[in-house]
Amino acid sequence: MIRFSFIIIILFLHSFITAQCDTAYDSNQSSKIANYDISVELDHKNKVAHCHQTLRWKNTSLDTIRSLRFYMYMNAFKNMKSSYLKDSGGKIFGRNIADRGTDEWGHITINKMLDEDDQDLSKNTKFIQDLDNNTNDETIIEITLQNPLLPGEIGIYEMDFTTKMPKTIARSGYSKKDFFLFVHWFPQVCVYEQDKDGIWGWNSHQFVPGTEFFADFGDYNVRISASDHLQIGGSGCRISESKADGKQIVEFQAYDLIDFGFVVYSEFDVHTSTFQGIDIEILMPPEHCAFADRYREAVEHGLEYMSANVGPYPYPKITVVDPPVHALNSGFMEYPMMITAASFYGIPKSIRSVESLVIHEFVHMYFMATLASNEKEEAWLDEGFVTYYEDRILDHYHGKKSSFFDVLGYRSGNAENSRLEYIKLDHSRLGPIARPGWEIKGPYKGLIYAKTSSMLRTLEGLVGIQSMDKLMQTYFDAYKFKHPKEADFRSIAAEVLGDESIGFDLDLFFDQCLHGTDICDYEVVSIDNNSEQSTKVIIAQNGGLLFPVNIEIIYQNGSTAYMEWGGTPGQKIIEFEPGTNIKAVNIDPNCTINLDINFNNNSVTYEPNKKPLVKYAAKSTHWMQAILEYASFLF
Amino acid sequence: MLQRIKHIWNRVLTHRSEVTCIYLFQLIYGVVIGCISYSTLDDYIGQSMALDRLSSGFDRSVFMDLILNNSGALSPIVTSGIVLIPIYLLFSIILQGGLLHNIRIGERGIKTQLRNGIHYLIPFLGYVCISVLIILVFSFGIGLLYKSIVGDPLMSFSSEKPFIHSLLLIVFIISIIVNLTWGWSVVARYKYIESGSFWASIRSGIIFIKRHFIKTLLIGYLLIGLHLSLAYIYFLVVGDTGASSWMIVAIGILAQQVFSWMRVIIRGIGYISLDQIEDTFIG
Ligand SMILES: [Zn+2]
Repeated sequence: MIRFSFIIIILFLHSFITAQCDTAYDSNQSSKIANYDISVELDHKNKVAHCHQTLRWKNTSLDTIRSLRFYMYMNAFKNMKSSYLKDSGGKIFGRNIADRGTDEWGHITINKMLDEDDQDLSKNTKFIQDLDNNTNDETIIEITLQNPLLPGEIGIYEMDFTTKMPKTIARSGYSKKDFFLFVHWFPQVCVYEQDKDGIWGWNSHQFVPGTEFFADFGDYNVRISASDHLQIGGSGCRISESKADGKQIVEFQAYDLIDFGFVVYSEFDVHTSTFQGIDIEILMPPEHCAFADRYREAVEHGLEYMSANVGPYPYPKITVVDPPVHALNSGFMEYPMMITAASFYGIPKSIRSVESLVIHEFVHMYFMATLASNEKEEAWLDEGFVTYYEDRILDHYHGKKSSFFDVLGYRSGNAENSRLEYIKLDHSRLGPIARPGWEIKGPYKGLIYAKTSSMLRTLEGLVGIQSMDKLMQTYFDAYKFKHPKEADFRSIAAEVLGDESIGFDLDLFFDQCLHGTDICDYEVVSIDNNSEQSTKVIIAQNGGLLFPVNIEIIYQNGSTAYMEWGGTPGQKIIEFEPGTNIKAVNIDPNCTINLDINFNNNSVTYEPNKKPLVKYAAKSTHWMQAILEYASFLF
Repeated sequence: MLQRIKHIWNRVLTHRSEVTCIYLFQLIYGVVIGCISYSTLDDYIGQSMALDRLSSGFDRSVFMDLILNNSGALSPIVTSGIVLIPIYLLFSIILQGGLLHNIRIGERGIKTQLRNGIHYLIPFLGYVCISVLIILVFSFGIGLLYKSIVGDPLMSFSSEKPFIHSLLLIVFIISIIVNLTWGWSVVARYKYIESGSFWASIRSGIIFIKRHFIKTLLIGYLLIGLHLSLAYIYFLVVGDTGASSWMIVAIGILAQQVFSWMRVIIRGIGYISLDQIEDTFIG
């Protein structure tokens, strides 16, 4: 009895010590449609999790629901025939994944699903393939209900399922020294929603490349039982932890999430801190501990900037997972309240890949976790918005010209880099931004991330940063814990910016940028001061995008004038009084139209600054001399 | 030790005209590339106010906008480089050969440098081919061995730390091979200058390396150290000084040329150091 009391006290103390998060935060922010109570028994030796989940799903539609659909993403890693892998050529993120033993594949199986009348529904299932009719793809399962759910009713289901982890292919999986990343690991209900025409139905796309999240908000209680040599971190807050007989049980609680992920490893160093009342937990392998401060600072920058400019961070905690290098394919990803970064021993501070990645994934806590757009159908609404803020945050804290890298006198800003990623694209071939992920073939990142962020930066240039911030704050406030779509963002933009005051057609702006492939390229073609009839300046818009733009005219007498131009495609002749002496013409002198694919041809001057030309010619001379000396060391 | 360094430095100064000749040859090639770079930049952005953005230092967008919107803009520079480098390398055999001759025989002057350099061109080309072959075969062999042992390095090692350390080890091993090959090629050329026998000089070079293994390596690493320090100082001093005034541009150019000249000097130090050791060696 004494021993039993002692254990209880120890357990209580332990739970007390390891409890995380400010319990005072608002735990009732979403409509809580899909709620999960999951117990996980991790068999790390066999890479299997035996799980039980209680699902509470609310029918918020006007339909009677006769079947439920679930994401079964782990089945994408069952073999090479899944829709995710069949066209991968055996390589994911450049690494060979096809040559593996049978026990290195993964899968998920629902062993039992009881409704409230204890009827087992798991025998009446079928896999759905809405995108490609690939019958080998088992990433969406439909389960027929014995008791249909009426509008407003809540269904409660007890489910036993087994998740066999694959040796890491993309994100989910296991690696050496008992590393496990459990993401997209449980049967998760798809979204029952209205389509464009107002018809209710399941939005349940298969797991294919270029697609990630779309799920309803809800509460999660997840208890993980695992060997006590492992460290466990995850979405949500750790509310209790106990250890006995070589086992540990860790319990996580999370409110208003669209997903839940967790990570397990035998060698994590754990770094915890608090910033603006938010718990920051960084889990990293010991060889990366030199990055701990960089990670923490990056998260703090993200928190500070997003809270000040978009809205308060809606959760009490953020977990940053830095996977060891053998599990690198688990990195570069966002989950609600948990992000996976990636770093490599020895990356110097002057190369800010660590910071940009952490900040990028952190911003997903706003665009993905909170504004939970359909990432499969409208990826630009999160990846593009995230890149826009990643650029802003990096530039704000590390300088516009050096926030991406600053090495030996060569430097680049993060936003500058995003624009360069965008101007690299072959626009007409690649197609528009606003398309589902599975339709985009080619440089996905350039289109979805870089073009969208360049579009938003252009909008910022046109309306000013204050209006842009107001737009984003209003959008965040109106649609947090919802599933905003393009039309929602555009209606907020119209409401906040208003067409008249900004001097251009906002609808046309979005139509062109999101649904078109036109480019923008202003050019000053010539200045003619010598014509007898009039002084002539020829300017051009070599692309098709229509933005109003400022033109700076600099006269020989040193005075400057500005004029507005609608930026209509083709050439335009501007005539001045005969004898007017123009020294230079500069279109968009402050480079506000970030979508302009060439800033160099935006100006012509009669008095060019030749010093940089001489400087870089001399540099080339010097580099050639150095190359010759080094190349001839054996000659 | 100080005495020895002073002696080596004095001998380098004795051969300053030959060293300067090599420097000037490199300068001519450099200026050709410089002129092509100037006219390329002038063609594309010579009238643009974007040049002002380069005044305060490097601006990636100016260069990337140029390259991404004008595919092939840099091809005149690259093509000229590809043509000029091999031509220079041939000239280099003559220039270095002449310098080695003057150091070994104790002569001085550009005339003897060029005359003897031309005389040794064919046999010295032979040493170059052998050296390049040795380094390529060894490096390729080590790379292949590493790949066969390690496989996918990111999966084979428990962390990237041992992976990076293993890569550094390979770089170190290759650097030993490069240093020894370089030492061998210099000594073999000295021997050829003295004996006129290609095969005997190859043998003498090998015997020298065997006997003076450590000393040769030390000289090699000293030269690498000098080059790295020079590069570090270059980036520290010249780095990216911008182009805000003609004075700054001119100082930058002057500094660059001092660094270029010093690079050739380092080569002279290497040759003379090996000659000092070789003096005491009967091969
Ligand atoms: Zn992202």
